[in-house]
Amino acid sequence: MVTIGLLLGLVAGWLRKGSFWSLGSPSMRGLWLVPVAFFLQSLAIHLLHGTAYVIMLAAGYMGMMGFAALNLRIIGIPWMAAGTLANFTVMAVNGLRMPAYLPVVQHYNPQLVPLLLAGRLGKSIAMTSATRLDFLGDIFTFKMSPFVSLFSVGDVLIAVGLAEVMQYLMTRPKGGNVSDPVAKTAP
Amino acid sequence: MTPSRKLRHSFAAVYAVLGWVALFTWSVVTHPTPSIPEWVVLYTLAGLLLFVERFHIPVTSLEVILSLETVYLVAFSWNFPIQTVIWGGMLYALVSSLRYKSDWYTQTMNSLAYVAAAWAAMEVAHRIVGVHGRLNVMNIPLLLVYSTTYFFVNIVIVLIYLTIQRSRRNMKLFLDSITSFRAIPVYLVTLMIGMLMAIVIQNSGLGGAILFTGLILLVAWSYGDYFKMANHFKELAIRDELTGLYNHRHIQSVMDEWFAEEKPFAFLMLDIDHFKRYNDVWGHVHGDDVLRKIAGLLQEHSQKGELCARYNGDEFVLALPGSDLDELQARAEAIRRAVEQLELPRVDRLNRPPLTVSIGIAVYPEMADNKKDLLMRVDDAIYKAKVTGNNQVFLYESVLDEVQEDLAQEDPEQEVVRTLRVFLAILNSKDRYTYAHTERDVTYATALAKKIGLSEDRLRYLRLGAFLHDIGKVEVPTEILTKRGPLSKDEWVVMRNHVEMGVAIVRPIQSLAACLPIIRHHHERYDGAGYPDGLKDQDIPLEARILTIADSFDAMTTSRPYQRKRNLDEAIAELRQCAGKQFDPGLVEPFIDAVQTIGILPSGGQMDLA
Repeated sequence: MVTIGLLLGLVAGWLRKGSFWSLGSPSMRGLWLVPVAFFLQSLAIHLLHGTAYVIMLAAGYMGMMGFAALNLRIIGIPWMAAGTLANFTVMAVNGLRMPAYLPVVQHYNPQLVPLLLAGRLGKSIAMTSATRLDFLGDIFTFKMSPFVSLFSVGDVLIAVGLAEVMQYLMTRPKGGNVSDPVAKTAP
Repeated sequence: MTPSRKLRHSFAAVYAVLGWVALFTWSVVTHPTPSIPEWVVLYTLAGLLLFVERFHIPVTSLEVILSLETVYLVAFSWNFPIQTVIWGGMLYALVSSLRYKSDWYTQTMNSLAYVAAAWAAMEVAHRIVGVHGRLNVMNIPLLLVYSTTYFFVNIVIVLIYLTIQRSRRNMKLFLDSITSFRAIPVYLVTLMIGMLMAIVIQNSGLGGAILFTGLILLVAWSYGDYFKMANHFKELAIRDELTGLYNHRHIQSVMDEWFAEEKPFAFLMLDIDHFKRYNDVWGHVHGDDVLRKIAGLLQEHSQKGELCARYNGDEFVLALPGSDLDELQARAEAIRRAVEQLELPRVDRLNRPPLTVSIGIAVYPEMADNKKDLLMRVDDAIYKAKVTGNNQVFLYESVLDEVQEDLAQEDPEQEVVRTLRVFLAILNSKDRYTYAHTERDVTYATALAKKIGLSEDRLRYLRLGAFLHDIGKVEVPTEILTKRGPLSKDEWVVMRNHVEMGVAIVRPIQSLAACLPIIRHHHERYDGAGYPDGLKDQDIPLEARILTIADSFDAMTTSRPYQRKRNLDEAIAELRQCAGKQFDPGLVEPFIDAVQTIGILPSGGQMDLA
């Protein structure tokens, strides 16, 4: 989903006559937090269990939200912040696990169902009557054979925000000076 | 913002919120928890609505905007439980209202109108088909019921809102837009697109809606461009490129509109004094700068609803509704002063007088009842400002108008005045000096006549006669009238002939018979050396003797190509010197008395109309 957002942003930025070179100097505060947070999250999801998992994943999310808070004024970042918050909230109330809608998985990727039910599919667990805030969980699917993606509304918001950030970075005026064309207006 | 207005807006906001609460309560009661697939639908709907809210499809030729929200609400309500649509609509309302900041309730209201209309239309459709009956998009009667309900519920909700808000302007705009037939085809097209999307969703689910959105975006995008281009061309057509003000074409068409609506308005025309000289000295690049500066200044001095335009090369126009003369003069004066104080480095450097403007004002309907007359009036006013020394504001006024009022009291037959006007207009266009001079003559002659106690009746004819005394000059060729050097013998013959010509022109008008002697004899001299009849002493009619003095006095005190302008004392001395020769000695002293009271009337100095 994040990849789609990234691509959409690049395409939109290019259509709006932005420059790919502008991406070289993003001028955002605390940019280092992003790779660190990604690293912590991957670490937690793929290698850790128990308390270590909880702490690492929470730290990863905190890093992402810290970055968002530092750059809240940049267009698109509020969407990303809202998405991250939504994902984090639903995970927080479900033991830092993301509930996934079982029928969808069954339909598109039946071989994953046993993994999901066993709780060994990344950070996902199956959505049951015991899970809470299900509507914030992984309920959307995107299928482009052979690739199937399961994502939450929070992911959509992050993607939308990312797309906006990308095209903002590509099309923003250089030198920070917005030259206003002389307005020729009638009174 | 007055408290009452604030209060009304708060009521309107409460109305929008209560509407949503009611709708939402209904949906929660009838369908408490949406299933996960329904969540997917409502998220998608909200997302798409938020997305397309930024795009409009302007239908330029109809001046209507196609609202895409309706498309989605129709398509979704036709395929999914209406409760899901309401949830999605509410999510959309919440998020998009945030974007409107302090105006949030406008958007809350808009979304309510769409979603509630979709809800009502769906309820009606279900009543007809039965709750579990399958809705078929191709069921045309059902479709008609659905669309009519949607349309009316939408309108009613907005109308109630506008009534609470009591914004007359919005109400008028809204009523205009729904009652205009132009909106109906656009609404129908919107519905058709909605139905088409409903079919797409029926066949291929939400993915279909997303693909369809791509198509809609493409249309919105290209139409947006087209719309921008059309606007650009429209602007080009009505704007002056150099100054950014409206152009001659636009001001003319606006004036036509105002005349058609019989809307009273004032027309201020500014003419830059000696602008040709400025251009010659400093070049047109700097000249253009000046034009731009004055245009900017004019815009600063204009208010909403008023129109600034560049009329011609160095002439600007401010057209404004209403016609309070005092206020107009004050505003024109403020503009004149502002121009005088305008900083133009090049002008100051040479210790030259600052750049100035002359402003003429005429108002409709008081001074003219059609465009051509109004323009002529304002032109006259500017001309007066110019010939009397530039850098002034002149309101149009004419002695002829007073004479006309005089005549109108007794003589309802306005034909006479109209005929005279035509002649005077011809004379005016041939030789503006003569025309302005005529107006001054009337004033001087009237002053003298009042001094010696001429009867009211005779005074009226004297004024008319004074007005018409040079009308014969219409027949004198312009080359002779405006010749700068002395006239040849033959030319003098033609020139002297104007008195008889004048008589010939006025003779057919019965009611002006009493003016004829005045016209014929205003060039007679008291000593008998005048023309055309060489009358002497009291043989010359009294009115003609009065006019001779007035006429000569004006000639003495204005500069003509062949003579120097005299001041008051010099003129009085000359009048006394010629008493008994050219003038009736009995009238000279009363005239001097009279003229000392009114002073020399303003006239052109060195006439320079650049």
